[in-house]
Amino acid sequence: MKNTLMVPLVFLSNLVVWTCLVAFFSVLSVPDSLRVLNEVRSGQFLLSLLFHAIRMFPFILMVVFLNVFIYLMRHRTILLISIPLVLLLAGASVVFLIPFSWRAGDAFSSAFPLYAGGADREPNTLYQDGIIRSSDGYRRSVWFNSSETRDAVAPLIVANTAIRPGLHVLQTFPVGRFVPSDGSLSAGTATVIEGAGGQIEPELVSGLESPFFIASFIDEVNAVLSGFRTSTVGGPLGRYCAVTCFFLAVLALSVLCFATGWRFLNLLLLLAGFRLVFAGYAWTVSGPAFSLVRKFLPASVPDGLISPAFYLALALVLALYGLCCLIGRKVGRKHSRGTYE
Amino acid sequence: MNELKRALPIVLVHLVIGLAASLVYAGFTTVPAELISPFVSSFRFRAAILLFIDWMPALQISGILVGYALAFAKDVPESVERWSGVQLDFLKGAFIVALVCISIYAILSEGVGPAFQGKQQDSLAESGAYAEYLSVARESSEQGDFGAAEFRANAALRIWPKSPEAVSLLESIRYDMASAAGENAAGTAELPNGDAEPVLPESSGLSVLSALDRARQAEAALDFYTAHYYAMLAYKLAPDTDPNKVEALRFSSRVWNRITSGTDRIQAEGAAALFAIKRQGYDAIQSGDYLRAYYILLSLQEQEAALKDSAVDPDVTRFLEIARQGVLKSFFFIDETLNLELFEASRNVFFVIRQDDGRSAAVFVHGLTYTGSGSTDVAYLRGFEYALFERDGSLSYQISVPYAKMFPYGNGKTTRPQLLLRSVDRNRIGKEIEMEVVAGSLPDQDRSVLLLDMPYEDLNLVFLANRGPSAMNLLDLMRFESKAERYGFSRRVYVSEILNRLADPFLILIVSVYALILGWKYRLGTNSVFKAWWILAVPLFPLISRYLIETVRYLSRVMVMLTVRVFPSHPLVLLLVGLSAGFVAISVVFFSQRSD
Repeated sequence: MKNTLMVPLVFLSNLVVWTCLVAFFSVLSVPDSLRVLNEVRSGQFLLSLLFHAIRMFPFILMVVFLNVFIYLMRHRTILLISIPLVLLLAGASVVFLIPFSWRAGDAFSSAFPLYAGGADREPNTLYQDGIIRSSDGYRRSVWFNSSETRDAVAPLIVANTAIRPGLHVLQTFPVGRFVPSDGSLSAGTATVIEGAGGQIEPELVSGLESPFFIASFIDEVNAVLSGFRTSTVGGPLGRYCAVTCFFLAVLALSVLCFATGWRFLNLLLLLAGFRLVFAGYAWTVSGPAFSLVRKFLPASVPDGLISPAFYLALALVLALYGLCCLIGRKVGRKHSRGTYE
Repeated sequence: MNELKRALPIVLVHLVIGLAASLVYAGFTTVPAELISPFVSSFRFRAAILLFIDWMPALQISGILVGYALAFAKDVPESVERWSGVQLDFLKGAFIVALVCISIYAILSEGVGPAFQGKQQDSLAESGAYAEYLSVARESSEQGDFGAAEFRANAALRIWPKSPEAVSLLESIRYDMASAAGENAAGTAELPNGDAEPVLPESSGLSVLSALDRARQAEAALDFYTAHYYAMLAYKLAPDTDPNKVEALRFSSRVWNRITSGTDRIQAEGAAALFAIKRQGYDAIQSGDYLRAYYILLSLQEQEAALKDSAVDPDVTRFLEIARQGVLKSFFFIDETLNLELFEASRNVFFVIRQDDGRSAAVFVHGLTYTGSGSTDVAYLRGFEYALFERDGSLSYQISVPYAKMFPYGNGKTTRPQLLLRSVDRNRIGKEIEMEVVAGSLPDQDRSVLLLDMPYEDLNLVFLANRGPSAMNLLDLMRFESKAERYGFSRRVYVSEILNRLADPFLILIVSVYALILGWKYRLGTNSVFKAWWILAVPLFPLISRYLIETVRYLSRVMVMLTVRVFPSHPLVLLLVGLSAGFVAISVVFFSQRSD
């Protein structure tokens, strides 16, 4: 009974933890945020975190439900109570929490357009003096001094390995002028080198790109979230339809928690399934799966309904699989002591 | 320790299968098209080892995860409370496994990895050079320049000695060469080997008295040139207050009189013309014009060789060697640089030198080749360009030279890179390659030799730094970090790289303990049997482990960046405190586990 009553608490605690984690990773995927972090502007960084937490909220909720499933897998609960409790929380999430996050996101964007990407970026600044910079695969440059206003450098030295044989690689200019709009340095009227300035010193962030699997997952999540917000088929109901179907597919993944007799394997299957649900979204919106289904559907069926239909079908298939497993185990192991024994 | 006996084989199986999979993967992966046959096997092998090193932490973590998840199913008592001693035993065992794996990984990643990466690059560079040599050889052969064609074909054969293509090309070139030469082929007089000792006995470190003794010995042997040479050496060595200085001068005059009065054996042989040339060469040595002396004596030696009846004059051979050594203090021979491009260790090196006197220099090198010369380091810099700026930023001068020869200059403690900028032909006078003054002006005496204002040992670090911090090993990074900004590199980048490298083993350890926790939480049920089809899911474990460790590394890199930015003076201390806290925390979490 205690474990069963813990379900809402697990939901809330995971909501707090995953809001922080997802917002943090999401912020780091934006170069401007790295600059803010590097310059230790904590107030701005916290605002960025808040914006990303709001923006990613639907995804955070899905992750939280995943953790609730894991909790249910690892602890004995009274299923007649815990399952309706989870469904109740899921319903409340789709009907109240997610629309609330959309409204909060709109309010935030109008109040702080800079963090929501709705305003011009901060101007480029000249990078540190005396450090060799690479602007492309062939050109490297260095300047020893800069003016107080950081709009001129002297002297400017460029090593250009792309020049024809016989010419000199080193080119020296007594003065270079910094162009903040594109971060280049020019001598006279000609642009001598690009990438002399920017939002953040490139050397500092060169090793800070997100690992490819995180970056690609964030891209896929962004595509899903953006798909939710732009889904307008049938008015506001279309949006609810898209979110509900996707949510149902995620909830249906819970059957994977009981797929095998080894919980660890179930955990891996659950994580892999969760990843695939997001990875497959692009295919259902405009990819090969979409094109295949579109061929067989009459033109009167709106394109926007195809993706929700896919996810609804996936949810039904998984639910059917879960039902079959349940019945099979009940029949085969009438005297078993539990799911994993 | 029963659980260790069960888990360890699974960790080992992970590593062995990982190694085998790496070998198989590298064996079937397409190698770069330009790679030539002799390098393919070794290239694939090194690629496999590098791949294995890359995956090793994930394999280790996956091994601990699976191994302990299965071992705990068998060896955990029915009931284990929180903070149990049983947990401590488990942690000890896992700790040993993790430490051993991490030690092996550290050796592989810091030692074997960079070495193999360097060899991979060398293989590709040499393959490219091989193709280029063959192409140039064919082109030269078609144009009738058989000498150049033969040279290039031989260069290609040095890279791939049994290349059928290169062997066939070389034979074809030689055949064409012989045909073209025909009846015009003429024998070329070989330079005499010089049975006599070509070099005068080592004269550095001689005292005044010992130089005089050698002069007397030479006089006794009627070798008046050598006697005069040592007498003048004694004269130069002696301070003004030394009475031997006068004696040395007197002795040298006496011997010189013997030379000029025609009593020496050369005059006796009647070769007056040759004698006059020899004297010119000797005079040039005495006046310090070694280059002129070298060509005079070389010409003399060739003339003597052409006279079939004349014996080789040992004086000429000796003084030619003295002149040659004198020449090599300020010049180098053009032919020394032939074929060097093939063996370049670094290319397109660019750095600056912020000098102590407030001036700054910019240096660019197209290619760098190290060659050993006894115990002395010697390197050749291809396409060397140098620009010196005054304190106010104005350009003092900018020079460019096709090749420069570099070696350390100075005593043992403060050696600096000295660059010879002029190269001369070994056999013909007048053929010189000099620097080009691109801008500004510099005195004539500075046109031959350039001394860079930096310690010689920094040079190798600067060349390595041009490949990026990831190409440097930890020791090099630590040596370079404090002086990075002097050479135009960001110190923060190198400090961050050092911290990231140091943090890595700790992170793997922390994640290993976390894997232990997961193994505990998700251990196989006591009464459950491992089903055969679950094996199919095994590849998922290293993949998930890889995701886990890469995520942790990523977070660590972000934290390191912040630490270096906010606490630039003590980032290492803070990092170690943070990692220790992380390790203690994760260990406490493990102790707090209990059986369900």
